[in-house]
Order: sequence, then structure tokens, then C-alpha cells
Amino acid sequence: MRSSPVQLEILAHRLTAVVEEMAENIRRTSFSIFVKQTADFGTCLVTPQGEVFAAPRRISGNMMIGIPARAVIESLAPYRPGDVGLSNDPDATGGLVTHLPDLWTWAPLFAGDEIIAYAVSFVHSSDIGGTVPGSISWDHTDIHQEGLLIPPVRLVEAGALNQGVLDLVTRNTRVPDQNRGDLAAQIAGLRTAQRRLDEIVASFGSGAVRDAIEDLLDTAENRAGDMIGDLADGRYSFTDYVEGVEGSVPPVRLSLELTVEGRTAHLSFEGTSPQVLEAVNLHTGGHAGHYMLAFALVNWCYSQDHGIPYNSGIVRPLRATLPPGSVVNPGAGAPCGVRAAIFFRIMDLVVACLAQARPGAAMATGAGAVAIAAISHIGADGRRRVSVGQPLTGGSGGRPGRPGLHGTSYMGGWLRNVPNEILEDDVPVVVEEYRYRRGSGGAGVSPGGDGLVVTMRSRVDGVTFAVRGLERLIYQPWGLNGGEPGATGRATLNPGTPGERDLGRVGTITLRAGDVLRIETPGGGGLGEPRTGAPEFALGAARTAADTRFPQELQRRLIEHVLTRVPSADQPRVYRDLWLGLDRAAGDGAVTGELLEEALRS
Amino acid sequence: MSTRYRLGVDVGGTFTDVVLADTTTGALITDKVPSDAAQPARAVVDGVRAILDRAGVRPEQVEYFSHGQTFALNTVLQRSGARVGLLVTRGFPDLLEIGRLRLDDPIDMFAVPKPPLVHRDDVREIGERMLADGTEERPLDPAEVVAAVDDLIAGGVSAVAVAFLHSHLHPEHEQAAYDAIRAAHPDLTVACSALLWPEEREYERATVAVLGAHVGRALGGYLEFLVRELRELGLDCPLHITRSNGGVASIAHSPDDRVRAAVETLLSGPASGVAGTVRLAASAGVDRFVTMDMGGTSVDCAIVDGAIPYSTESVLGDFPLIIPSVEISSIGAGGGSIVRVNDGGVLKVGPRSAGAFPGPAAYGRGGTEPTITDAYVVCGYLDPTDFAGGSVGLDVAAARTALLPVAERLGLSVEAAAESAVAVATAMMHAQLIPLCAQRGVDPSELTLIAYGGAGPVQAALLARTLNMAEVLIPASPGTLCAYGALATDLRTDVVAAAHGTVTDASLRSGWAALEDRARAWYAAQDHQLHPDVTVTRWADVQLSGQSFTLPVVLPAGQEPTVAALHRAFTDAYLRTYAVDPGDAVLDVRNLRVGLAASSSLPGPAVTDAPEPVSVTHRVVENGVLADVRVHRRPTLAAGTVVTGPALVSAPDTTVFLPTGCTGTVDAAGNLRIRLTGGTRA
Repeated sequence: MRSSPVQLEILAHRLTAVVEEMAENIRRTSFSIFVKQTADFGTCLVTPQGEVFAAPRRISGNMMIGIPARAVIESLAPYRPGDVGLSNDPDATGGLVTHLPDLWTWAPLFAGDEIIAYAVSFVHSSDIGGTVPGSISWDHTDIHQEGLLIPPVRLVEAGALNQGVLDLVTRNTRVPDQNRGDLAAQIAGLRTAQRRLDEIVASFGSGAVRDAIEDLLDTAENRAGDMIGDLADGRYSFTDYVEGVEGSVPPVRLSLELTVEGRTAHLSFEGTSPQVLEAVNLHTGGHAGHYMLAFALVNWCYSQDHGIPYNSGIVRPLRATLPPGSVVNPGAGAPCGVRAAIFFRIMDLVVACLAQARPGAAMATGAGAVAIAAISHIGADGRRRVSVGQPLTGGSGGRPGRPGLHGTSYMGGWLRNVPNEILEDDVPVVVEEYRYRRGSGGAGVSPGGDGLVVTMRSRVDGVTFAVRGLERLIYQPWGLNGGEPGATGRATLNPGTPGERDLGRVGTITLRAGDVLRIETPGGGGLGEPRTGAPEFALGAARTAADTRFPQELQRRLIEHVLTRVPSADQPRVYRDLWLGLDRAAGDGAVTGELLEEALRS
Repeated sequence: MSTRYRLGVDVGGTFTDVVLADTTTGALITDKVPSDAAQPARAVVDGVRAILDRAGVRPEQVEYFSHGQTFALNTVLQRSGARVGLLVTRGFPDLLEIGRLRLDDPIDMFAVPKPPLVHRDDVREIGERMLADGTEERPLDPAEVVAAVDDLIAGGVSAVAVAFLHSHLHPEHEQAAYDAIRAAHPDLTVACSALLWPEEREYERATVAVLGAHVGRALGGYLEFLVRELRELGLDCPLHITRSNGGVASIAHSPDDRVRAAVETLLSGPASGVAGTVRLAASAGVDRFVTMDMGGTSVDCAIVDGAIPYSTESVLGDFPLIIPSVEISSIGAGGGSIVRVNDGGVLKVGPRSAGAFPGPAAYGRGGTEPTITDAYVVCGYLDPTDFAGGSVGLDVAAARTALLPVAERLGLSVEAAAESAVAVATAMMHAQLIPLCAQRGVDPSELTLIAYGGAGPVQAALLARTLNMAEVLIPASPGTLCAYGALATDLRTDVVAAAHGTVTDASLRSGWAALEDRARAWYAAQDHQLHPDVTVTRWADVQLSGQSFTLPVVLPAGQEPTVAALHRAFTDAYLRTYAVDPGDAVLDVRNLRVGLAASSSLPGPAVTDAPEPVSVTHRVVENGVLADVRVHRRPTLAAGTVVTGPALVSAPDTTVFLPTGCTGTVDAAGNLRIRLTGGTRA
């Protein structure tokens, strides 16, 4: 270590204070409701090489560990004091940006004439243009439908606001005042960082600060390496799905092989679906430690040792294979608004592999999604009002030595619900039930957590529910080592009546007076005894049937074919058409090798 | 007529503090006695008896007694109160467990949420239902309620809470349930959410009822014992209890009042300290400051920007508390925090604490692990000859022994290791305080730090220096400020009513008037002869139509309650909080509130003339160097005395450490005002 063990601890706290203060300033002064209600924003400090060395832990939506910042830093170099960069362009930022509403800004932090670090922040803006208000829709097929793309540009040049850039941005959104406010808040937050860093450098000297930064990164790297080193060397793999829109598109296949070798972990996503014509593609820029790939591992390290320095040193031991053209490393122009669907499922894959690599290290899986219901109706004033209903989170999987959580999980654990009294005052519905869905968690030594039941009755004609992101309606949350899988989710119209109807993923439905909508979220899978041999996953009947109908090795062969033989621009469409054609051709039987080869020849 | 006195008592984890104030001169006599965890009221009575004896004051000379207890809070934290059954609207049996859904630490995959205070088996769904607009969807069947309660009692429940949906607006069903339960079980503790605190948000309101049911009877027993003993002692004055809102109320007698008292006093301990500080700071001409109350188990802060900060989103252990409470945040674990070197060789402070027991090694109560207090002792920042009035000896050798392994692992001398531990603790407090200030849009460099509690004055100047704060103020009697706050603060109550969205001038006027009537009725029922000056504050929880985060908006004093005036006040509050102009969008008023404060006339605290000056030397560690510095005995310092750091100022209840570069001046009220100059080095 370069620093003294005392000064290192002191500077760790001082640097954390800088990012926490930035975060509070942005939360206080930004305008977007996302920021104020769900804290969907982030701040951090990165080294000149682009590694995050300080990030707030207390801010909920914050996911900064592993952001690939080097590309944007280089994009505007050289910098002068007072410069602020801006971008929301996934391709141009090499995967720093993962969907367009996130407006990222960054600023060089000088110590004397030298850049000692960069301050980085993002805010999820309420709207950045595009085809729908809010800019996010599962149905987008091209990134240009998702709003204005801002390649890296100087929003502030040597302290002077670039008014033309600001006008260009705000002219292209539905909420110009909010965007202006959010950007002003970020600029103010970045300035806070420079001011506080000046104080720290004045007290401790820039050399000591540099040393502490390196030591903090090294410490995190070593601790993460220790934890990976505790896993058994070997290769562990798992495959899971984002179910997506039934019928019209194939489920998105996500496949992970985790190779543990000493103190490094290699994540290979070979066998993962080609990018898709839905807005779920995850732009990672091919970075191994990308924050949306590493999130589960970062959490897992933090969960075992709350004292680990919370920085990108944690992702240094990671390597990755991210096939170009796949949903986890899509090409330019891939729509990405709802990339969280893929992000959530990657967490499941990582956890499944960890569970194999060290018995007792990880949990069974949970509901695997965070769905939101927007409820709208025409108010007394004749205008449409939109309210947000209860977050549709489900139970989490059984955990080593403790049961799964009911009704929530670490995936969506930062979300708050709406008091039903406020909801009923806002929207003409009666909430008939808001309770745990007893018995929905899978049995096990550590049982899975139960899902939620939300039952709402419309008091008037014309109340519209737009439900986005329901998952695991077909494939059950898997159980592990003798634990049972959890119950799938389900949405039902008028349950228990002759008009009862399964609504699938819901999408959008308009209720008449007296109609009842019941949504049951999935329960978590159960966890059995730790085993030393190969772990045993309980995937449930639907998944077993699907694997019989379209065997895994054939799915993999199809994906390899498309990614290697089809021109990249055509891959999404070709993959979809081949998959749907095979599904049709199989009829009541199964997809066979012959059927597949025939389809690939033509 | 003989001199009249007031008594204030504050029960802490380690010590019970007693302050006796001369109502003519303002002179204070203070004392500390060890707290009695098993029977906390006994320490109160012992402390009162001792200070009266020492001061030669007869019980009948005491005109006023006020007392801050932690009994209710500890009952909740230890979950040692009544086993509570809960009645809820059908369809919502998991109301308490679901709560607001959000996890405390969403990053932690292995976190175990705390179970609710009511076991799921002790929840009964009742088939009643009111809607937001007052429609009675399903009537209440009193027989169903009584059957449910009978069943709960048969199962071992000894108190019942009732929380039905929309009862804050339409309390009829809860009231009917209450009447039915009362009739069937006259002695049962019953707490109804809307009768206690009629504010929207069913989970938070139900929590109020559950806490009241859990604590009510036990607090009643505690208070009965205390009242009986104090009367036997000869105190025949009004007896008061401090509240979470920083004020006091007369000790209640009826069981229902005690349920109410329970939920209104849960956070009273630190609140009265802040109230006392605000009073004391005002007379010192300071109105923007941070309070820092550092004891053995916590460091509590309040950021005061002109007025006492209130929060309706307090957290108490595992539970939210929506009743307005002085907004206090924790920035550390106090003097009991354990010092260690982790596996990576880095010096860490906390998060484990030796607490009040066994406490720091230097206290000689069986603690052997090194704590921050031990580090203070080794650094010489605590005066071992005059600690806690000599009632607790400080064992310097034990502190050194405890810190020795840490020093060896760091390769430092024991003194250097101790000073390093203090520097780390300082950096931790710094890191916690900075974002708190940012939340409120204030910069610490604009504020004064007012430090009290047993360890606050030891640590204050070190912390203030890293925050670039210009001044530290140490009150004359920093170790007993909460007890002083208890005797000096106002009678105070807060009342709330749901407002339901759109308001008019007429509805604002009538809504606030009805609340004011309730507040004044409360005041009339208090022993209020010493608190004649009544001030009424009107405020409201307001948001922009379509938003879902409210701001507390105070209608400026003297303004007519009109929508226009409320809009102006909202715009100011919005700008202050979010730095954004809300424009002229429609307001959505969720709650109307009234706060009533009745102040008493009491001269500010005065310096007691002390017999003879004492000044000795004592060895401290600063920047790795051992040096002899002067120790000034606090009571001997006359107004105008200047103390230049490095120096110690010791008082019977604590020690003030002035590092090099600090200059302290004693003001007329006996406050030590410390100016900081020089570097900001931690």
C-alpha cells in the first residue's frame, strides 16, 4: 500500500463525502420526478483512466460500479477547467449510456494544472423525445424511435454554458423545463466535486490523494479476488429467458458460462440471443466489468463484506466474452429503452453460476422483474390523469440460512409503494386486496419468498391499466438443491366469474365499471441443503417442456448460425423468422436437428 | 417569599442528568447519577433527592418539574411492551409487513428485514370498508370486531390496535370498533389509528396505533410509579413530560391519554436537547447552527436554520414515525465505538460499539475493547481528575492497555494510534454530516457547531475544523443540556387533519380554525400556569397537483389564511428545498396542521460564581507530539476569559478540547465561544 492505513481510511471517508454531497445536491435541485421519487440518478468519481473510485452507497438507483467511463473521457480530451461533457448515446459512449433518457455528464477535476480525477453523473430524465411520452416503449425497433441522441459534446466550455447545445436538447423533448433543470443540477453537482476536492488536496496534498485512490481500488480488487478465490475453480453454466411478447417474437435466450480460475472470473455469454427487434437490448460496449453485467457480483461481494471499498476495483477480476451482435453487445442502433429486462435476467444467471461454484454461496432465484402499472382515467376536468400503481415486484429466492423476501428482492428493493389510500383518492379504483400471495414461494429448507396479490376494481368505465415488464408468467422462478420452484405470475380479469380471463402480460387493458383486475406476482424459488456435487435446479414443468420441444443444443446451434453466417444488419429479423418458423414447423412435436438444418439451409 | 426553582431531568443510557434552575437568577445546578436500567424512574427520584439536598432546596420551593424519559423508546427498541393484536380492513392482512416495500439496504442480498411488531397470527381482517369519498362500501359489524378481539385475547394478546382504510377522513368505523371493544373489555388497552393521528398513509398511521398499543400500559406504570415517588418526596408542583416535538406536556392520567403520550414522547430525549439549544443559542445571538449531541452510544445532529427543524418522516428503530418530531440525524456511534484494525491493515472505527455496558475500557466496568472514549483518554482530551463530577474515575492505564494491540498492528505508539483513531472518527462524522447539510441546501462553513453531551465538547473543535466551520459554541453546562431543555422548553402540541386536495379560502379558514380549537382545548387541559404566552403556527403539507411528494409549508405569522398566501409560502418553500420555481400550477393540499407552543418566562442560564480559580497542567497528544497544556476548570472562568489552544477546559460534566489554533472566549451566559483558525487538516 502506498498510503498509511490511517490516512487511507480518512481519505476514503472524505472522498465518499464528496460523492454523497454531489448526489444530495442533484436530488435537491433537479426537476425530474424520477430523481425525486425513485432516485434514478447517480454520481461518482473516476480516475483519469476511467475507473470509479468513489460512489455513494445510500442513493437508491445508483449503479456506478463498473461504468465504462474511459471512452467519454477520451472523446472530449483535452479538457480545460470548467468543462462539462454531455451524452446519452449508447454507441458513442461505448456502453456508458444504456438507454437514452439517462443524460450523463462529466467534468475534469484539476489539482493545480493536472487532472486528478473526473466527476461523473447521470439523471434519468422524464423525456428525451421519440415516439412516446417518457421515451420508453418495449415496442421500439430502432434507437431513433427512442428520442434525441446526443453524442459526447461540451455542454459547458471552460465555465461558459454552450447555449446552442442546451437549446438543441431542450427543443427536442416534451419537458424542456425539466431537462434544463436536471442539467443545471448536474452542472452544480459537478462543481461541488471540484470545490470539495480542492479542500481535500489542500489538506492532504495531491500525491496523498492519488495514492489513496490507487490503494482504494487495489483493496477492493483484492477483496473481490479473495471472494472469487473462495469459489471452486471450474466452469459453471446456466440458461434462462426473458419471455417477452408472446407469439410474435421468440423469448430472449440468455446463456452464461462462468469460468472461475484462481482469483479471476470469466463471464461468457456465448449462446445468448442475437439482438432483438424489441427495446430490450443491453449496450455494454463489450466491457467485461460493465455495471449492468457485474451488478449481481458487485452486490454479492458487498453482501459478504460491507466494508469492501465500493469502487470499480471490485470488477477488476472480471473477464467477459460478449458476442458482438447479441442482446448483451448489440450493434449500433439497437433499441434499448427497456434494457432492464435483460439486466434483471443476467443477475439470475450470475447467481445460478455462483450457486454452482460454491455450495451455500448463493440463493435460488426470485420473481426476476420489476413491473410497473400506469393507471389512467379521464378526470372530472376532462383531462387524462396518469398515476403509478403498486410496484409489481415478487418474492425473492430462498437464501443460504434464511428464507427469501416476500414481495420484493434485491433487484427492485429500492422501490417504494403507494399508500392505497392515496391511490384510491387519485384514481377511481377500489383496491380489494394488497397482500402477500401465500404459498407462492417454492418450498425448501430456505423457502422462497411469496409474491404479491394486487386486486383492483374499477368504479367507473374507462380506467386504463398499462402494465409493463411482467415476467416469469411461463417459466417458474427456479428452485435449487431440492427447493421447489416458485409460482409463476398471473394477471386475471374478473377472477371467479364466468367472464374470467387470463390477461397474459397485460400490456394495456381498459376496464369498465365493476371490472376486477387481479395481478399475482411470482414467488421465489426454494433453496434446499447445500450440496457438494453438481447442483440441482428445479426449473419447473413449463421450462422442461420447452426444453423438450426445442432442445437447448439446437437453440444454441441456431444462435451460432445467425451470429456467424448472417450479415449483422439482418440478424434480428432472420433470427426471429427462423425461430418462429421452427416453432410452427414443430407443430405438436419438437424441433429436431433435421428441422433445424433444413431451416438453416433455406 | 423564598426562591423558586425548576427541575429538569433527562434519563440517558449511562447517566440520569438533573438540572435545578433558580427562576430569579437563572443560575443552574447540575448533577449526574448512574441510570438504573431495571427501574429507570428510581434513578430519577434519587437524582432529584440528591440535588435538592446538595442545593439545600426544599421540595415545596420547586414550582415545576419536567422529565425526559427513554422508557417508551427502549420498550419499542427491545419490543418488551404488550403483545399487540391488530384489526385491519379485509384484504390487507400484511399491511405491517409489506410496509412501504422498500428495503433498508437494497444492495445487500442477504439482508433480513425486521419482523413487524405484530405477528401475522395476531392480525384479524374485518369485513368493513370505507372509500376515499366517504362511501360506505361495507358496514362495520361490531359483533365481528368483538369476536375477533375475544379470539385475540384468548390467544394471548394484551392490547389491540385498530387501523382501517381511510379512517383519517372517515373515522366512523374505527370509532364504532373502539366503542364495541371498550364495552366488551373495559380494561384493555385499545389504540385506534385515526383517533391517535388522523393522517393519510395507512401503513404509517397503523404503525402509530401499534406503537401506542405496545407501549401505552407499560409507560403508564412507569409514570404512576414516578408520580407517586415524587409526591412522596414532597414535590407538589405540576409534573411534565418531554415530547418528540421538543415541547412538554402535563403527565397524563387516563389510559387513553397514556397511549397518546407513548406515541408522542418516543423521540423526546434528543428533542429536548435541541429545544434547549435553540433557546440558549437565541440568547447568544446565534440562529444558524448544527447541534452535536455526542454520548456513549450515538452522535445526534440537528441542522437549525433559523427555527427548530421538524420531520414527519422520522425513523425509530425499525419503524417510521409520522408524528412531527424534531428532525435529528445520527452521524456516528458515539464514544463507545470500537477501534480496530481490519484484515487489510486499515484502521477502522465502529460499527460495533461497547455501548453503555460494558462501555469504554477507561470506565472500568469490564470493557476491554478499545473505544473512541479510550482514545480521547490516551490523547489526554478528557480530564481524568474531574470526569462526570468525579463520580466516574477514568482509568488511563486500562485505556492504554486496550489500545496497545491496535498500536502494535499499526506500528505506532499508543498515543499516535489513539490520535489516529480520533482522526478517523472525525472523518466519519464529517462524511455523514456533509450530505445532511446538502439535503437542506446549507454549507457547514456558514454554521456554528453547538456541541453537548458527554463527548460532544471533546470532539467538536476537531470536527468543526475539517468542515471549515467558523465557530464552536459549548454551552455552560454541556453534559446536562437535555435536562436543561426539559425544564426550559415550551408546552407544545401538534394536531393534524386530512385536507383532501383542493382548498378554498373558506375551507382553509375553517380547517385551521377547527385544528386551533383542538390545540387550545389541549392547552386548557394542561398545567399551564407557568406557560402563559401562546403562539399558534398554521402549516400544511402541500404538493403540486399530480406530484406525490409533499412539502411542509408554514403560513407566515400574521397572514390571513388564504389560498393566495399559502401559494406564496409554498413557492418559497419549493424554491428553498429544490431550487426550482414551481410556477403557478395548481396546489394539492394533503394535510392541514396546527402547532401550538406556550412559552414560559425563565431567565437564560447564568454563570454561577465559583470560589477559586484552579489551573493545572495536563499532557495531550497533538499532531503526534506530546505537550503539556493548561487545564482550566470551567466554573472558574468568568465572562470575558480567553483561553488559547492547545488547552483543556474541564467542567463537572465534560471536558472541552481546544486544539492549537483555537481561541475560546467565555460570554456573558457562560458559553464558551471557540473561534477556529488555521488549517483544515483532519
